Amino acid sequence: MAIIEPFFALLSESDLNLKKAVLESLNSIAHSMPKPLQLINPAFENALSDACKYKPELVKEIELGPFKYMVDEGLAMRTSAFSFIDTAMEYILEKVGINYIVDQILMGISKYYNKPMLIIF
Amino acid sequence: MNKVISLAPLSLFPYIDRLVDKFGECTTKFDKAINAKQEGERVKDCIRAFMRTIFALSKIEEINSMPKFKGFYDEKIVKNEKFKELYEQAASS
Repeated sequence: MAIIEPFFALLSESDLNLKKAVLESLNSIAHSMPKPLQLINPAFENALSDACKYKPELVKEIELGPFKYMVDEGLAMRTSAFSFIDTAMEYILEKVGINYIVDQILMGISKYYNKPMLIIF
Repeated sequence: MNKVISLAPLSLFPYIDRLVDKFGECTTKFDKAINAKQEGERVKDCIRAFMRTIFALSKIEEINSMPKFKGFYDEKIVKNEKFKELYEQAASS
Protein backbone atom coordinates (compact mmCIF):
# COMPACT_ATOMS: atom_id res chain seq x y z
CA MET A 1 0.00 0.00 0.00
CA ALA A 2 2.99 2.34 -0.60
CA ILE A 3 0.94 4.34 -3.13
CA ILE A 4 -0.65 6.41 -0.36
CA GLU A 5 2.52 7.33 1.49
CA PRO A 6 3.58 10.10 -0.95
CA PHE A 7 0.19 11.73 -0.32
CA PHE A 8 0.87 11.71 3.39
CA ALA A 9 4.30 13.29 2.82
CA LEU A 10 2.91 15.99 0.49
CA LEU A 11 0.70 17.38 3.23
CA SER A 12 3.83 18.72 4.91
CA GLU A 13 4.58 20.98 1.91
CA SER A 14 4.05 24.71 2.29
CA ASP A 15 1.89 25.35 -0.80
CA LEU A 16 -1.74 25.84 0.28
CA ASN A 17 -3.22 24.74 -3.04
CA LEU A 18 -1.11 21.59 -2.99
CA LYS A 19 -2.25 20.77 0.55
CA LYS A 20 -5.87 21.30 -0.44
CA ALA A 21 -5.45 19.04 -3.49
CA VAL A 22 -3.79 16.37 -1.34
CA LEU A 23 -6.60 16.46 1.19
CA GLU A 24 -9.23 16.24 -1.54
CA SER A 25 -7.42 13.26 -3.04
CA LEU A 26 -7.20 11.59 0.35
CA ASN A 27 -10.89 12.26 0.80
CA SER A 28 -11.59 10.37 -2.44
CA ILE A 29 -9.31 7.55 -1.32
CA ALA A 30 -11.17 7.45 1.98
CA HIS A 31 -14.43 6.98 0.07
CA SER A 32 -13.25 4.29 -2.33
CA MET A 33 -10.38 2.33 -0.73
CA PRO A 34 -10.00 3.39 2.89
CA LYS A 35 -7.79 0.57 4.14
CA PRO A 36 -4.45 2.30 3.30
CA LEU A 37 -5.46 5.14 5.61
CA GLN A 38 -4.46 2.96 8.50
CA LEU A 39 -0.85 3.61 7.46
CA ILE A 40 -1.02 7.23 8.65
CA ASN A 41 2.02 8.27 10.64
CA PRO A 42 2.73 10.93 13.29
CA ALA A 43 4.19 13.33 10.67
CA PHE A 44 0.92 13.19 8.75
CA GLU A 45 -1.09 13.68 11.94
CA ASN A 46 0.91 16.82 12.71
CA ALA A 47 0.50 18.13 9.16
CA LEU A 48 -3.25 17.41 9.25
CA SER A 49 -3.57 19.16 12.60
CA ASP A 50 -1.71 22.14 11.16
CA ALA A 51 -4.08 22.16 8.16
CA CYS A 52 -7.05 22.37 10.56
CA LYS A 53 -5.72 25.45 12.34
CA TYR A 54 -7.11 28.90 11.74
CA LYS A 55 -4.19 31.12 10.73
CA PRO A 56 -4.80 34.88 10.94
CA GLU A 57 -1.82 35.55 8.66
CA LEU A 58 -3.78 33.95 5.80
CA VAL A 59 -6.63 36.42 6.16
CA LYS A 60 -6.17 39.15 3.56
CA GLU A 61 -8.00 42.39 3.06
CA ILE A 62 -9.30 42.85 -0.48
CA GLU A 63 -10.38 46.24 -1.74
CA LEU A 64 -13.21 46.33 -4.24
CA GLY A 65 -13.82 49.98 -4.97
CA PRO A 66 -15.04 51.61 -1.79
CA PHE A 67 -15.56 48.29 -0.06
CA LYS A 68 -13.11 46.15 1.86
CA TYR A 69 -13.55 42.42 2.27
CA MET A 70 -11.66 40.01 4.43
CA VAL A 71 -10.77 36.83 2.58
CA ASP A 72 -9.52 33.82 4.49
CA GLU A 73 -7.10 32.06 2.13
CA GLY A 74 -6.80 29.14 4.53
CA LEU A 75 -10.54 28.40 4.63
CA ALA A 76 -10.60 26.04 1.64
CA MET A 77 -7.75 23.98 3.06
CA ARG A 78 -9.36 23.81 6.51
CA THR A 79 -12.63 22.72 4.91
CA SER A 80 -10.80 19.93 3.04
CA ALA A 81 -8.96 18.91 6.22
CA PHE A 82 -12.16 18.59 8.23
CA SER A 83 -13.90 16.83 5.33
CA PHE A 84 -11.11 14.29 5.26
CA ILE A 85 -11.32 13.72 9.03
CA ASP A 86 -15.08 13.32 8.75
CA THR A 87 -14.84 10.85 5.85
CA ALA A 88 -11.95 8.84 7.24
CA MET A 89 -13.02 8.91 10.89
CA GLU A 90 -13.93 5.26 11.30
CA TYR A 91 -10.63 4.13 9.71
CA ILE A 92 -8.28 6.48 11.54
CA LEU A 93 -9.97 6.86 14.92
CA GLU A 94 -8.20 3.90 16.45
CA LYS A 95 -4.85 5.01 15.05
CA VAL A 96 -4.96 8.70 15.99
CA GLY A 97 -7.01 8.38 19.16
CA ILE A 98 -10.04 10.28 20.39
CA ASN A 99 -7.88 13.00 21.98
CA TYR A 100 -6.54 13.99 18.56
CA ILE A 101 -10.04 14.12 17.06
CA VAL A 102 -11.40 16.20 19.94
CA ASP A 103 -8.44 18.60 19.63
CA GLN A 104 -9.27 19.18 15.96
CA ILE A 105 -12.96 19.62 16.76
CA LEU A 106 -12.18 22.20 19.43
CA MET A 107 -9.85 24.01 17.02
CA GLY A 108 -12.46 24.06 14.30
CA ILE A 109 -15.31 25.48 16.35
CA SER A 110 -14.59 29.10 15.62
CA LYS A 111 -16.23 32.48 15.84
CA TYR A 112 -17.16 32.43 12.17
CA TYR A 113 -20.07 30.66 10.56
CA ASN A 114 -18.25 28.65 7.96
CA LYS A 115 -18.05 25.29 6.31
CA PRO A 116 -15.58 23.72 8.78
CA MET A 117 -18.07 24.40 11.57
CA LEU A 118 -20.83 22.74 9.57
CA ILE A 119 -18.65 19.70 8.91
CA ILE A 120 -17.64 19.47 12.58
CA PHE A 121 -21.19 19.54 13.86
CA MET B 1 -19.10 15.18 15.97
CA ASN B 2 -22.10 13.07 15.12
CA LYS B 3 -19.78 10.47 13.68
CA VAL B 4 -17.65 10.34 16.80
CA ILE B 5 -20.81 10.09 18.87
CA SER B 6 -22.03 7.13 16.82
CA LEU B 7 -18.63 5.38 16.65
CA ALA B 8 -17.35 5.85 20.18
CA PRO B 9 -19.80 7.75 22.38
CA LEU B 10 -18.35 6.85 25.75
CA SER B 11 -14.84 7.81 24.68
CA LEU B 12 -15.99 11.45 24.51
CA PHE B 13 -16.78 11.59 28.21
CA PRO B 14 -13.30 12.59 29.42
CA TYR B 15 -13.53 15.58 27.05
CA ILE B 16 -17.09 16.64 27.80
CA ASP B 17 -16.06 19.59 29.99
CA ARG B 18 -13.88 21.08 27.25
CA LEU B 19 -16.55 20.47 24.64
CA VAL B 20 -19.27 22.01 26.79
CA ASP B 21 -17.13 25.13 27.28
CA LYS B 22 -17.00 25.49 23.48
CA PHE B 23 -20.71 24.75 23.16
CA GLY B 24 -21.35 27.54 25.65
CA GLU B 25 -19.40 29.95 23.45
CA CYS B 26 -21.42 28.75 20.45
CA THR B 27 -24.78 29.33 22.14
CA THR B 28 -23.71 32.84 23.16
CA LYS B 29 -22.71 33.60 19.60
CA PHE B 30 -25.87 32.04 18.11
CA ASP B 31 -28.04 33.88 20.63
CA LYS B 32 -26.48 37.20 19.58
CA ALA B 33 -27.02 36.39 15.91
CA ILE B 34 -30.67 35.43 16.47
CA ASN B 35 -31.38 38.52 18.58
CA ALA B 36 -29.65 40.80 16.11
CA LYS B 37 -31.75 39.19 13.38
CA GLN B 38 -28.59 38.12 11.57
CA GLU B 39 -30.25 34.94 10.52
CA GLY B 40 -28.66 34.35 7.17
CA GLU B 41 -28.79 30.84 5.77
CA ARG B 42 -25.26 30.07 6.88
CA VAL B 43 -26.03 30.96 10.50
CA LYS B 44 -29.24 28.90 10.43
CA ASP B 45 -27.39 25.91 8.98
CA CYS B 46 -24.76 26.16 11.72
CA ILE B 47 -27.36 26.37 14.46
CA ARG B 48 -29.32 23.41 13.06
CA ALA B 49 -26.16 21.31 12.81
CA PHE B 50 -25.24 22.31 16.36
CA MET B 51 -28.66 21.27 17.67
CA ARG B 52 -28.38 17.89 15.93
CA THR B 53 -25.09 17.35 17.76
CA ILE B 54 -26.61 18.32 21.13
CA PHE B 55 -29.51 15.98 20.44
CA ALA B 56 -27.15 13.12 19.55
CA LEU B 57 -25.20 13.71 22.77
CA SER B 58 -28.33 13.89 24.88
CA LYS B 59 -29.39 10.46 23.61
CA ILE B 60 -26.35 8.85 25.28
CA GLU B 61 -27.79 7.41 28.45
CA GLU B 62 -24.80 8.11 30.65
CA ILE B 63 -24.55 11.77 29.64
CA ASN B 64 -27.08 12.78 32.29
CA SER B 65 -24.55 11.83 34.92
CA MET B 66 -22.19 14.52 33.56
CA PRO B 67 -23.11 17.62 35.58
CA LYS B 68 -21.47 20.08 33.20
CA PHE B 69 -23.38 18.82 30.17
CA LYS B 70 -26.62 18.57 32.12
CA GLY B 71 -26.15 22.13 33.39
CA PHE B 72 -25.44 23.38 29.89
CA TYR B 73 -28.42 21.53 28.43
CA ASP B 74 -30.86 22.74 31.10
CA GLU B 75 -29.64 26.34 31.24
CA LYS B 76 -28.71 27.06 27.63
CA ILE B 77 -30.98 24.86 25.55
CA VAL B 78 -34.16 24.07 27.49
CA LYS B 79 -34.52 27.50 29.12
CA ASN B 80 -33.95 29.41 25.88
CA GLU B 81 -37.22 29.36 23.94
CA LYS B 82 -35.70 29.82 20.53
CA PHE B 83 -33.03 27.19 21.09
CA LYS B 84 -35.57 24.80 22.56
CA GLU B 85 -37.67 25.15 19.42
CA LEU B 86 -34.66 24.56 17.18
CA TYR B 87 -33.58 21.61 19.32
CA GLU B 88 -37.01 20.04 19.05
CA GLN B 89 -36.91 20.50 15.27
CA ALA B 90 -33.54 18.76 15.18
CA ALA B 91 -34.86 15.97 17.40
CA SER B 92 -37.85 15.32 15.18
CA SER B 93 -35.94 15.37 11.87
